Amino acid sequence: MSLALLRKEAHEHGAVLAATFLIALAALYVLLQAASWTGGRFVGLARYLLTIAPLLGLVLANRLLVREYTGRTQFFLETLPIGRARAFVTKWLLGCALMLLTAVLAWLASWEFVRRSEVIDAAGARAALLCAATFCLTVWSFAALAGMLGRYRYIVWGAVALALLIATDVGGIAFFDLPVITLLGPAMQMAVATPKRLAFVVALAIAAGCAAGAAALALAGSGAMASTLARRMTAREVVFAVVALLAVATVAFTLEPKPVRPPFDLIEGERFDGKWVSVGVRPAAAFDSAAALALAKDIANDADSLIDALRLDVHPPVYVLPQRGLDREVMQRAALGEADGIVLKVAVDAPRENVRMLVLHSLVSDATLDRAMKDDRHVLLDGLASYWALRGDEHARELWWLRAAAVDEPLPKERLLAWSETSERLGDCKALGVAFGVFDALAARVGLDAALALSREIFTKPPDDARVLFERRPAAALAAAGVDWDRLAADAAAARDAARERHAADLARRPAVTASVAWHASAARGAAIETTLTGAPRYAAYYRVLSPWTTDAGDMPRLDVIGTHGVLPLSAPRAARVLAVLEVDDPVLDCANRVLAERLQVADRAR
Amino acid sequence: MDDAIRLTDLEVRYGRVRALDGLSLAVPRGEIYGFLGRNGAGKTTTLRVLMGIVRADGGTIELNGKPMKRVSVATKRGIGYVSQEQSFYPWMTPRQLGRFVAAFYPSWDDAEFERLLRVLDIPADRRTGQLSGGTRTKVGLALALAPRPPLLLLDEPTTGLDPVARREFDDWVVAMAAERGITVFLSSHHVDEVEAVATRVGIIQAGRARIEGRVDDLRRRVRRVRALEPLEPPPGFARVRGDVWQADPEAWDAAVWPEGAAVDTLPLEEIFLAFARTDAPAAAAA
Repeated sequence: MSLALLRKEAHEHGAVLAATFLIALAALYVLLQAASWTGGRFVGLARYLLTIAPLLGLVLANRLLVREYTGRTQFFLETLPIGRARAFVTKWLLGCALMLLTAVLAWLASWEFVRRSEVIDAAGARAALLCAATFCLTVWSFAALAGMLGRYRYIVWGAVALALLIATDVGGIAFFDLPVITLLGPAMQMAVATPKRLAFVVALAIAAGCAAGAAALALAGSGAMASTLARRMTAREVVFAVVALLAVATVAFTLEPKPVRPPFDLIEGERFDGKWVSVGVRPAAAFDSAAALALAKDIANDADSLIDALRLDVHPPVYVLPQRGLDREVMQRAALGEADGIVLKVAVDAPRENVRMLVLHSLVSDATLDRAMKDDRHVLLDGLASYWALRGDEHARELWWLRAAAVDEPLPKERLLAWSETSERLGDCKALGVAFGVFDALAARVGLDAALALSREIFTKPPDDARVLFERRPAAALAAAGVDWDRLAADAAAARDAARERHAADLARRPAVTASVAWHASAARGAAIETTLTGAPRYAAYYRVLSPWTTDAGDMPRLDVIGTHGVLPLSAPRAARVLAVLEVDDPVLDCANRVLAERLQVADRAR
Repeated sequence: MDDAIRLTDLEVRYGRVRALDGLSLAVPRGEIYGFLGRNGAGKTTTLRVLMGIVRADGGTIELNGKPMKRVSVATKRGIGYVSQEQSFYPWMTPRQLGRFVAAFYPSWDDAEFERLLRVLDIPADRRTGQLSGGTRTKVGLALALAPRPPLLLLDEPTTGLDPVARREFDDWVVAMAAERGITVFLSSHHVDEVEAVATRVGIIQAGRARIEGRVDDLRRRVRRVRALEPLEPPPGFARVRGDVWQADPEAWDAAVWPEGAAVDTLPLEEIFLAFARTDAPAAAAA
């Protein structure tokens, strides 16, 4: 030790270190307060040591060791009659003493804080102090070693942080089972026991190794090693370090096993266990057990066969709750949070093929982590799900062709690739008909096997990491199968034309309906939005105020209008955008036919 | 005459580079020794070995008659050192620096340090980071002299100084050396500076001493021979480079030259150039 050097360090770094300690003290106070709510005797101390001690070690190493080299004052020091080793030991011991002092003070503060509300025996408290001191010693030892690596010190810190992350996330090692960190584990936090002797031995061995490494760097080559390392990183080194860390992080997160969501348990209703999927359907009034079981079987068969066809690795349980009082068209999927599965709430009289289609839609959507709902493939998802639910049922297929034929506007590929907008305008009934027609046209063009092979490629489970950037786009997959979007849109249009001819008589029976929506300034409510529909005795109006970021309006409030005119029961602020949708029951299409969907821009100033 | 410094076959390697390759020289006590060499010749490495900053890989060091493998901390207390770069703590004033450095020297003389601050016109209470290069060099000199060391090592201390500051510094070194009778080892590549200050000169090239001696002695030993026809050095003479030859003064006096030949004495700069060029053949130091 050199007293002169200690005095110099105190003079040089006193202000910065005092400020650092004050910040650390404030952090300790906050952590102790927070920990008092969560219980645990030395939880606050453990959190403080895990977060603040490494930062403190970094600051101390930077001030005491790194600065001497980067400021080139190390050379001046070496011209004085003080050995290089003595100077290094003085600084190392000073840093170590400050770290240990921090640990002891934090422990004392924690103990005082906890003793207000709990009784802690002295042995438990002493064990906590021992753990804290050993942890701080190891952290300082590592910080000193990293500091002696000069310009690479932050890389070393980053690498250690990454290694800890990989050990916990990829290796599956519990955080408090990691070497050194285990000292601050539950035993220390609860002050109930001293960690195993091996934990101390490992920590002290690491500390000794780091100290020896730091000393070697300080003394090797007459100190030339440390001086060389202290130079600034070259641009090439910076790029290499960043790329290396990113590469390791990418690999680590690629390897990271994603949490498996357990399936929910089917405990009531009629249950049918398929090859891959178990389905439960709850009977209800006007929906007896036999009907429930039949629906469960149909759903299970649909799901099993589609899973086989697309070779999906999913086995979600499915549960359907038919409810009275729901609109026939309404089908809602429950959000399950941490559990895996598909739960649908539907009307008792909901069309069976729609329920089956929605299950298949949910199945593929979940299997692809929702990437099947991207606009560049969503029409194919809707089409596949509809096609699969309707397979073998010529009557239902013709009904859906009829719905597709009811769309008399051209739908080029641009409309198919902006599917969320197109289906919003057409409504579920006609949009699903169109989608069904598109997939049917695809199957007709390339054959069902090839269409399914294409679907396998498009609706595969994507990697949940950076590799997803390199997935093949649907357009490329279609082109590889010998069909492009233009051709597919043309084939689908031709098939709709053919269906229009087949069903000309039915289509002619449909009532002619005209609809409009307009807003006007209202003295009482700002802007009032009025709907008008002629050709039907009643209609349903759906509405929603849109935010600038809304793309899919989702479920909307409904207003039933008897007669021609209606006023939406909402007070739209000025400059708001409002989606207004009008639907009428169409007995020919056997569904709610959307006759208007308009996004209104309410003017900033009243008209 | 006993030597303050005697280096024998000193070797220092930085990886594959031989910074010192069998350097041998002797600096008599009380002399101002000018150590001349080009950049990279090994001057700074030699001084760092003498300061114990760099460890020698081979050879022996003798300081004040005491042989050693490496300069110890105790020995360093008897050496003053001024480097070519004054890397002081920028937040310290010269006075604070003095207090800091004093703790490492039992022989530190506070009064002398204060006197040197005054005499060298150093602002004692201004941070060294705010001082000019010349003033920082003077601070270095004051710090080196305040412990009253018998040996002063100067490693190109005037590099980067303007001519006036350089002359002032050199005058101070000469005055201090005369006043205290200390040995000064001055490394430089400024021949004029060495010629003005030094009593003895050594020339180093590629880690080896090429020649050393008093300045007038060197001028008597190394001369230029001009002749109408190319001449080969006779026995006792060695070609340094081109028409510059080296021999004992007596050999020069006794030599008989062909008609038309002329022998010129050379300024120190010419002698330095002849020895310091990298393609100069190795010639044994006389």
